[in-house]
Amino acid sequence: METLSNSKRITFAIMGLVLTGAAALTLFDLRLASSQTVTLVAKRSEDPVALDDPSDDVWNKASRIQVVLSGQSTVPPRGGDDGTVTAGALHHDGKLYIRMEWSDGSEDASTGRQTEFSDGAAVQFPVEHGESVPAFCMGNPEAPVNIWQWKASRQAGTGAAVLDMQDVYPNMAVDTYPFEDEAEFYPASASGNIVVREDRASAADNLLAGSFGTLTAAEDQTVAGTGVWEDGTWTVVFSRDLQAGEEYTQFSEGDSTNVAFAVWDGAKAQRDGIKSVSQFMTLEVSPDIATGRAGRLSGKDAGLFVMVGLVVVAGLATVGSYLLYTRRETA
Amino acid sequence: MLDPAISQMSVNWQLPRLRVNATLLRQVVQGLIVAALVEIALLRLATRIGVHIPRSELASDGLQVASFVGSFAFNSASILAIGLTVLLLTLMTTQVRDTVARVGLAVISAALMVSLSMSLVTGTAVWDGVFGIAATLLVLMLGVTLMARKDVSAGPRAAIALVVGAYVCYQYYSLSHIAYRLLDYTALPPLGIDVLRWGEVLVVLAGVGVFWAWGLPRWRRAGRLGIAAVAGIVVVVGLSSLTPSSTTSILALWTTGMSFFLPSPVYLLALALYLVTIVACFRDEDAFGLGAGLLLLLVAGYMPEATYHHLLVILGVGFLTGAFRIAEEASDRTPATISVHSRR
Repeated sequence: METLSNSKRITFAIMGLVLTGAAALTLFDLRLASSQTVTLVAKRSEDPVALDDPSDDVWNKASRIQVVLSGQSTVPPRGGDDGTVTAGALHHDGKLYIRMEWSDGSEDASTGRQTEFSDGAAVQFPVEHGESVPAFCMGNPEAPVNIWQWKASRQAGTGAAVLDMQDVYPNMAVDTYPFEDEAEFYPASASGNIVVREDRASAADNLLAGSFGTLTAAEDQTVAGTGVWEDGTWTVVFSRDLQAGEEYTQFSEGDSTNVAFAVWDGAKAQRDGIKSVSQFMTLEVSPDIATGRAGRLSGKDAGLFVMVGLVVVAGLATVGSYLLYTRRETA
Repeated sequence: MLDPAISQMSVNWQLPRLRVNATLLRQVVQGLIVAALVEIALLRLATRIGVHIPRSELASDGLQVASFVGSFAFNSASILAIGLTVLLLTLMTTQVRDTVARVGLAVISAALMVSLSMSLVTGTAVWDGVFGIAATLLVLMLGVTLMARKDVSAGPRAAIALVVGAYVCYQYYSLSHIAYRLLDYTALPPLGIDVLRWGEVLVVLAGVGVFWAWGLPRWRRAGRLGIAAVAGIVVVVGLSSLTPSSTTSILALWTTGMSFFLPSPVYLLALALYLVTIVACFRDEDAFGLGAGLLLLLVAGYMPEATYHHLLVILGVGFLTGAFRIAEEASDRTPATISVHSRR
């Protein structure tokens, strides 16, 4: 009886200590855990990064990660595929560059017909990096996200080359368009809908969201993006100043934040929520110079590999001896 | 035949120096389970469901309270997980009699705890890598040890192999990226995504394996209420993929880390079998450790996102392999009668 009492006393003491510690951490907005997700590192590039050439040699020095995509299943319209996207990142002269590369069998850049949809890509960051990561699906009301979205159709329609119905249907005939020159009869354009922006300088948009159904074009369109489709692969590069207005995600050397990716395949009628998405990964903006190598070992690297190998062998030896010991004991 | 006095001294010399009361251990584990479930309900689910709730001051305040309590539960669970991991590693290390194995285990345990601390403080890739390697080796060690025991039947061996295999697959993806990052390689690690997909297959198979190993022998213990509860969860998750109601789909706990490239009925079957096994184990007084282990693995998920989740995997596998049963038995017996490897 006395033992039980002591046991209870110890349990209460332990739980009291645990709860006190947890309360202190929570009050200071801290979490007793560190992220173990895969990290995309944006190192400093000594050479300029060409925004109009996603296959620029400078990307050979950038670190890359391979990210799993799955169909968006949280909110209708659901859809998308399980696939992968290869992401790279660099920063140069105060600008951050994110590069996405994924397989797509066809280049879909036209949305002129009702049955045509554009290929696209997006990168998403929490507006404010903190202990709480927003929902990966367009963020939360109290934790909004900043989204950079690129669309092939917008690239085709950038600047003066805005899509015209006559281009899509060359033989079309129209008797007359009433009120053709009156802005109020073009409500999308008059209300600033980004889909019909004619002053577009880039195929990428700077967007904000605080949960699905709240996607809004940001006031400052400071994101640039270019995509190239070649041999069944899209390669898209996004760019923005590391520092921007306070309502957008801020980046600085030495800091980390979260990053997620999304891809649309127009040939599969993917648009809106019908897309392939990733979970949040970690993005680190590093002050180190990008000197990445394709995979050849230097003497120093070989040493590190040997060290890692030794650790693994030691671990396996331990497993083996433990195994041997167990066999001996149970025999 | 040894003299009883000499035998007694010999056994005493080999005994763990730390004694843990079984009741106390069970209560602490129950505390961890409660904290982990509250964290899932309030921090992960509530914030996801919250985005569907119409904007109002009351709803917003409610979500903030849920998020705060969820964070509190997360920190409580994390502290308990760290404490229990230290206890598990101490017990394992002190009970191994082979010197090489003991030293190796001590080194790996020390590496895990030091890298955990350094990862929390510095967040550098080196310490993340050390932590990942140490966690993988410990899980491997626990799994291999169980599989090597002659008194263990094929079911548990297969189940543990699948669970450990899935974890190793994810760790390959994660650690290979860390290694390439440290080496400043721009190439992609070989087979990274393929291995991740194989791991997802192993997770699904583990649902079946776990049922075969521990659920089938005691499935009647789940009772009608338990079966009904599991059926309810599976139906809700299943319907969520068919109905336009977006709120139900986020009840699918397994979405985190899974890409769902297999047909959805396969995932539902695996989930159902896994949940029935958990319920049956918790309703069996002698299988509390198994139920706790399976539940902690479910909470950790296929892709452990934080150090806390990796500790849950270590503890979960520790429970499934009987590592903590050692502690329970050790605490309830007099030192001279402890026989670590002849337990049933």
